[in-house]
Amino acid sequence: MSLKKFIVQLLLYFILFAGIYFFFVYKLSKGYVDQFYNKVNQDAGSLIIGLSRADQGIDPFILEEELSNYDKPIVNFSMNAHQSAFGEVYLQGIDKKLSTNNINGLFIVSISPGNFTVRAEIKDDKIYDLDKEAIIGSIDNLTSKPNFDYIISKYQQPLYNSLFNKENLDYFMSHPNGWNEIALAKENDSKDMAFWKEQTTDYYNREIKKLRISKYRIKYFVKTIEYLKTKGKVFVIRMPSDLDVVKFENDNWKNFDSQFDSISKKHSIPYFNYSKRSNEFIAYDGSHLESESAKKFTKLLSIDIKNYLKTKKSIN
Amino acid sequence: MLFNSFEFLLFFPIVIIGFYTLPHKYRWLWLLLASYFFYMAHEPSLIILLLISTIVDYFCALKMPDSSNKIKKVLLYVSICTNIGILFVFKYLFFFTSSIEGLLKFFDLNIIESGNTAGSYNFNQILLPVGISFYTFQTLSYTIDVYKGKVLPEKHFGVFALYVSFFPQLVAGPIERASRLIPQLKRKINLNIPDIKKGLILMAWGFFLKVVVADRLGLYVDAAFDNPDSPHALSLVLGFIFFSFQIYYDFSAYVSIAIGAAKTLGYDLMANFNRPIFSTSTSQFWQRWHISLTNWLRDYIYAPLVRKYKFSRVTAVLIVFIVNGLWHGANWTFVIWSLLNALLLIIEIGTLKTRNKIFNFLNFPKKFVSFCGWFIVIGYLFSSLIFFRSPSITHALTYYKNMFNFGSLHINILNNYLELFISITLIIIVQTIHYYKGNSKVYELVTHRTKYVRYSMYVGYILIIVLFAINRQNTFIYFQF
Repeated sequence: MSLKKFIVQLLLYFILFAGIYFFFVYKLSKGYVDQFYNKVNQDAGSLIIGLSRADQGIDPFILEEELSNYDKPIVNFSMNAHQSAFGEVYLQGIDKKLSTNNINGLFIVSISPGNFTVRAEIKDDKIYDLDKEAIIGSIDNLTSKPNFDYIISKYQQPLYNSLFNKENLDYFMSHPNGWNEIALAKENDSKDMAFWKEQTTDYYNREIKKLRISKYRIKYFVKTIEYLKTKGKVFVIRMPSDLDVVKFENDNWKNFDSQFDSISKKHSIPYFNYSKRSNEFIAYDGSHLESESAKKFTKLLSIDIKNYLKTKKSIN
Repeated sequence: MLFNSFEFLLFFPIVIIGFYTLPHKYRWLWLLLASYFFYMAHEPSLIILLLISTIVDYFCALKMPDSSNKIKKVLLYVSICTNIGILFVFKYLFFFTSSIEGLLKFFDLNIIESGNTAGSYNFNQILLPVGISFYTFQTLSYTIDVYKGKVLPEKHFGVFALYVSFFPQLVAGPIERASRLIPQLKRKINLNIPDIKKGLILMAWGFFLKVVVADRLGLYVDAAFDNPDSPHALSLVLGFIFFSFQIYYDFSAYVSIAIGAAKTLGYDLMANFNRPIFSTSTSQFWQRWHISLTNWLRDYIYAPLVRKYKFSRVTAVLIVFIVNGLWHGANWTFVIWSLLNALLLIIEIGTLKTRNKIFNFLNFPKKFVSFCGWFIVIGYLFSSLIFFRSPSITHALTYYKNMFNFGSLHINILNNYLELFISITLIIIVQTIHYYKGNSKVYELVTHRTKYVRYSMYVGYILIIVLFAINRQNTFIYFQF
């Protein structure tokens, strides 16, 4: 075989490879990608900030309906403790999500002890590098649809998933506004939930020994709310979850509510603490709200925000 | 630079084209620059260490033939101290200081000034240079061989620097001997398309092993080892079995890509694996697993200890395996893993005659004995890897303990039965291919076929890589050593 023919063959295989690869990446982008994809393919007028409790527990659509005066769309930009804990990287991500002329946004900042903890062995000066490896830190583009940047660099599943449409699972729906809705199936009963809650509390009990509170995370919480104040109205909230889980958190961080209430007050931002009303909602695994409770909670939050704006009284 | 990165996809064709376009006399320079670029793509400043090793060993070896025995010895010590010194500072200093600290605390001795700990001196912040253990052992073997008169010193500094830094095997081996690689680097290479094809097929096989098999197994392994307290004993058992295959395929993938990349340039690197999973004894396993390191330890540590310093074989084996453990990482978990292997090897050698007598007396068929040997050896070696994978001894012991909580048969910890099925199927496929073709002649699966079968195989390969690859862009496990 001549060298020329060999090189042409190699080039053809390379083009074939690239063609097939991009075909399946494109095909994947047309359907369900993963739980975070819908958070990184639109510009946002308003945002829901936080971890997985906010990710599953706040429906932006209800907020848009109830609080229609604010910049739209409202996007649920909460992920989980690995992806969206307070820090320079998350703040940069929030900045990228918001358009530059944004001044009338609504920002729900959900906090729990999980937002402010890191592994005990990680020093504060290393957190930035750690966060850079997460989704928000490692892709430039957080607003395009389709977001090929995300799929190529952060989608870790095999591309054969593009051949199946997983959007219509009975219990899970990833909404275009970033809300991940978890519905209980008909066959799920209190026994299932008790089991899931046990798993969650076991996990928390194991993890608590490995974690510490990070001053860096607290510092960036303050920077985040200060930044968001320049873009609109900010509300710091603590979401409801199971009462035992709330007790566990309060036992391990005794002055959490008072500490963040005073930080919020210092920055003229209301702090709504719903953790005391946890018995009004169903946290299917002890931590996260199921679909109906999430809708009920979002509705309640909207009403409280409206009332606050009238009376300037926080919910504590 | 990672082999499984887009950067390498650009870098490698440029190197190949440049190499075959340039006249022979400039090729060493081209490869040397490419190798340094390859290394510096990770962390540019660490090239200094590579250069120090190269310069010191070049001059020490160069002076040896004309020196008296005493001077020769001094030159050897200079080379050894420089290389081991760099290795110690950059890989073992924190481990050493924190171990001493732990020991002092254990005996309740407060010799260290209050507040001054290994951590407070920031020894743990020293960046571990990629591949330092590999190139240090490679360049050390050169000066020792020159000292012993086994090879002549290389006069051409550029060729020697290329021997130390040859990019296909720079960061994870195989650890080549100067007597094998330097003559090849000096030989004039003619363009040989069948050899280039073989090299590319080996590289393709390596990419498949890495992104389709090893990284897929890694998802399950990470989930299992991240949660050693898991009540699901069966998932922990599957976790360590998968890890054993993961580390084998991950390293084997790197070696395949390294051998393939070198072959496209006309060079033959040594095979580093020879179907190790089919070994029926521990000694056989260690002759087939990471062959270049085992040979190095045998030639430069075990043999001198037994022949020159008259150590007993058991003591020599223990020392070799301690070095082997520490070579893999600055953590007691590696030492324990390696010593567990040494223990089985010592028992195996010590009981060989007795076992043979018993088997002969009971008239067991040889195949049955081999199967039992395989089952015990592989089972034992696989389970010892729990120490290798665990970040601490406590973590490993928790893992072992919970493996025996036979309460739950839950195995699907990733909530994906399809992926579990694919993982097991892939292990069976790869093992079958390794069984018939070995580790370094996989290209024979393709090269002897008719044209249309070959084309179909290439297209099939592309589809498999695109559809089944796990996009983790993970570094190779052995890069950290």
